[in-house]
Amino acid sequence: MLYKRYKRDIRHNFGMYLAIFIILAIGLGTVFGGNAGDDSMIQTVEQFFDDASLCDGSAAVLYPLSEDYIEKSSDRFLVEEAFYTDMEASVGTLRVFGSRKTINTPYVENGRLPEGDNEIFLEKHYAELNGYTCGSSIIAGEKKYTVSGTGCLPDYVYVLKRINDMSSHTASFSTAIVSEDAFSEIKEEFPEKIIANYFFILKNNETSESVKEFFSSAENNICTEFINSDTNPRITTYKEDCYIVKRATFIFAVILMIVISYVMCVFLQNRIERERKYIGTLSALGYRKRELIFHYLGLPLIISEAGGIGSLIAGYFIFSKMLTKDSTDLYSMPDFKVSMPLYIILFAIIVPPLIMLVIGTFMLTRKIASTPNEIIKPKHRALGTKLKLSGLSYITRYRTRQFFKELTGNVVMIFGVFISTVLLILGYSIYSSIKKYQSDIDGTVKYKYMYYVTGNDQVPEGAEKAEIHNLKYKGSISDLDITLFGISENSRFFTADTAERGADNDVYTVSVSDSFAEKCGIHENDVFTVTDTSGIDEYTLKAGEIVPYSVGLSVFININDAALMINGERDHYNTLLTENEIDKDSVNILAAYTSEEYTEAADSMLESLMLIIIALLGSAAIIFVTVLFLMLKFMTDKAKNNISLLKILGYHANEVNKIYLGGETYIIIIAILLSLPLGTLVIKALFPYLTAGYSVRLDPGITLSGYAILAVFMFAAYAVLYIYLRFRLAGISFTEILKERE
Amino acid sequence: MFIEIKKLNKSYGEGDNKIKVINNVSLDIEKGTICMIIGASGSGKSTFLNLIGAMDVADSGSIVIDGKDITKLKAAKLTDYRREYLGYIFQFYNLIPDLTVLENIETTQYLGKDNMDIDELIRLLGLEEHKNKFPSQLSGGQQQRCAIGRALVKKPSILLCDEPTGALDSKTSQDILELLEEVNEKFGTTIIMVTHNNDITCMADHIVVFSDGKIVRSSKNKNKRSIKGMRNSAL
Repeated sequence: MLYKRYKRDIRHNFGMYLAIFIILAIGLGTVFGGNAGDDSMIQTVEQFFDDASLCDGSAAVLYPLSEDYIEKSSDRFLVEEAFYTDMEASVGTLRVFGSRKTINTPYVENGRLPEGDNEIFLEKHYAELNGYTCGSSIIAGEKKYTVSGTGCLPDYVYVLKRINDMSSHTASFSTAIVSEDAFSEIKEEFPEKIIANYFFILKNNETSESVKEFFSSAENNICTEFINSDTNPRITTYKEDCYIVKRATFIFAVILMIVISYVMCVFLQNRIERERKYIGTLSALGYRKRELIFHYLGLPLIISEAGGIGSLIAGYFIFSKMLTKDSTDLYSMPDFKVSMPLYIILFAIIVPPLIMLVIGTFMLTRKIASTPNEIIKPKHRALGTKLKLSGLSYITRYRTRQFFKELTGNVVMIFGVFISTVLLILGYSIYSSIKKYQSDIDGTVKYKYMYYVTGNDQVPEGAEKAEIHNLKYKGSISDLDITLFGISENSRFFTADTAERGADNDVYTVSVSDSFAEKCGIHENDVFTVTDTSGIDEYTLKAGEIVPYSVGLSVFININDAALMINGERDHYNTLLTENEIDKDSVNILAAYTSEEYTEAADSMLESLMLIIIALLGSAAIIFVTVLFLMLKFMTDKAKNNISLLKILGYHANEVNKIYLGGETYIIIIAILLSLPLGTLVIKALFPYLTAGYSVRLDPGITLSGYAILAVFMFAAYAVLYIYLRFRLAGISFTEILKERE
Repeated sequence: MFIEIKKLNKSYGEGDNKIKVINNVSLDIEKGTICMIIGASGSGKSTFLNLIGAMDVADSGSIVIDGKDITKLKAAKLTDYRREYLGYIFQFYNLIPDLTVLENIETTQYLGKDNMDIDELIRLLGLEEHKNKFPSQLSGGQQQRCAIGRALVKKPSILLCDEPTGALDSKTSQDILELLEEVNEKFGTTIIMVTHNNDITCMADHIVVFSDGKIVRSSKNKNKRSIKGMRNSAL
């Protein structure tokens, strides 16, 4: 019969239960939807890799290998040609491959692979962003092609132009496949621009070292790039991103559930306080403590369970695709259907009511622990009663007693303010850190063009030669991409000291960019190890000076020392740096980059994170407003009789507001003002962990204007609540207290 | 006349459920007198008190207090009226549980312009050793004394008492009534008291009998005597 009250209770407190249900459904829905989307995405891509026979790695050599040489090792590894060249297209640049045999075969989303020599298969995002569909015409390398189909390549899920690029920008750089005949034509026309790239799959327990040895020891050849698939950011980044988001969002989900559980329990405590006469009576009649606790917890448990189930529905139908849109826009992968993994379903069904049960049982057990008489007439709480308040004004004393009386509610409110401040600062920091990175880049990069070249003796006028290589550094969470700049001693583009020093016991002294030094805690004279992109060849470096350079993570060394370290011989360069575009016919350009691409990559990164930023800011706003609203509403509802009494005694509305809202206003202002610096400290501590996988230094710097914006938002939100609460207090009739009978 | 009530009407409910709780009531009360309103449960006496206390709004009629018709005042002015003229004593004390005795009395001291000395008042009420205690630590009589202190500290012209001894034992009731009598004698406060107990009407200057929302009898008490003489009678 007691449970018949649930229906009336829901009707009476419909607004509050609805608010809690919506917060759980939406808050947890974003987490579960995002995670389900990520899991489905990972599953889809893994299946794509399986179906496409993803390579174990790839290697680029200076000169194509002979078929005999490849055949010699066919029992140890499968090696296939995957030559490519970068070509100027109608829009941006396309990395054009010939057709692939068995390794890294494309996924065809629309149309088909090219058959004729004037057909081209485009990467899907490039096609979509630039308006290409099957049958469209596109110019690539001054030849007109017809688009036969669109899709994606397993080795370019993250379409990075260079391995250590910060982000992709598929509107202006992407991949394409032409038929074997068409590629043969390209090879004939531009032989010097072809990158002799190979895919390999290991057989019979062979290792990456042995296949690298295979490529490196090819006669009169140099292995210019070797990378394993499990360390290739083009293949692995999507998964690392998913795992970072999953970790962060699950922490958020647990915090949200704890906050909501505390809110509900404060409500329950107030309820029990109001109904203690009935509870005591029921206890006297023979109801057990367990039965009473479960009666009062029953509805909150139902609401938590409903919220959990609602979050699964909202997550599946609304948030899964929405929140993975950033990833599906950023990464080139097959479309996928979202499915809810079992662990999420179990989490949603079990954890919210479980947290509610634990917190609720703890809080209610104390309330209902006594004899029936003690429940009906509890001893006055000791908390706050021993305070010596003489010397304070009457209003201050009243507010102080009010604060201690509602201590639990005030603590929940302060905690809610703190959590929402941390989320606001986190969202803002992600945005501001990328913006800061962009402005740092502007001042840092002095060259405009970077050309990867090969085999030239003549350096064009105005160009500066360099030996630039991608390396790996073992970070705290994952491997980081480092750029080794081998530059001339008097380079006009860099300020680092790069005098030729040679090695000292195989240790090369390098200048370290401040971004690398700060991110990885490297100081002058520190000795550290880096590897090539395959992770096989190791190099020991000693940090000399720390120099300002914000793009990615970099080390600087003399050009000859770099060539000696990597290639084993001096007097070699592989890059030209210039302020002006060079005549492309005067040098053999393998790839060309501009300094603007760094800013574009940062733009792409910001775009890809925008939904997360909005989700963080939105969640923070919801938590802030809801926790404050519910706590203040509980406290003022609880004080109805006293407020009614004050009105009878002759207090005006603004005097009543001064006592009941004024004190809370001070608490909230202090909570906001303390949460801002404390929240900043928390984010400063967490940010390196959250961005550990990114090969750039991102500073969570918040400017004064940033703080002002956050503070203004919070104060404005509270101001609206304050106005609403004033109306509520004004609506409390002074006959309220006349209805109360002991 | 200090309080003049003319043709007061008040109903609750609508349509078939409408009940006329106060039916065309008129009454005059002199300043400085004790006016006792008696009647059975549901006779309308508490509603009548609430209307004088401006805690409810009459359907028609007038209530003129010290020359001001309070039925014509807006909410803010009614608050001023309660603030300046009234003290209220409830049957169940209605003290604020989280404030001490002293602080409960200060809730109205804060509103008054010409207050009593609070320490003297606490001594008068016999609460000196309890002034830093909370209501839950006091007996019923002590709580009611505190409530009386709260009502009196700002020296109200009118004290409205709704069954002030209804929740107390006979000895404590006697003490409270003696205190109210003393307040009336010492400060000249007009006391309007609602009670269902006929035995205490002896202390009244004016006795009003309510029945079914109407005044069935209103007369000066020619046999007024002090409540002190009632010490051993059945209160």
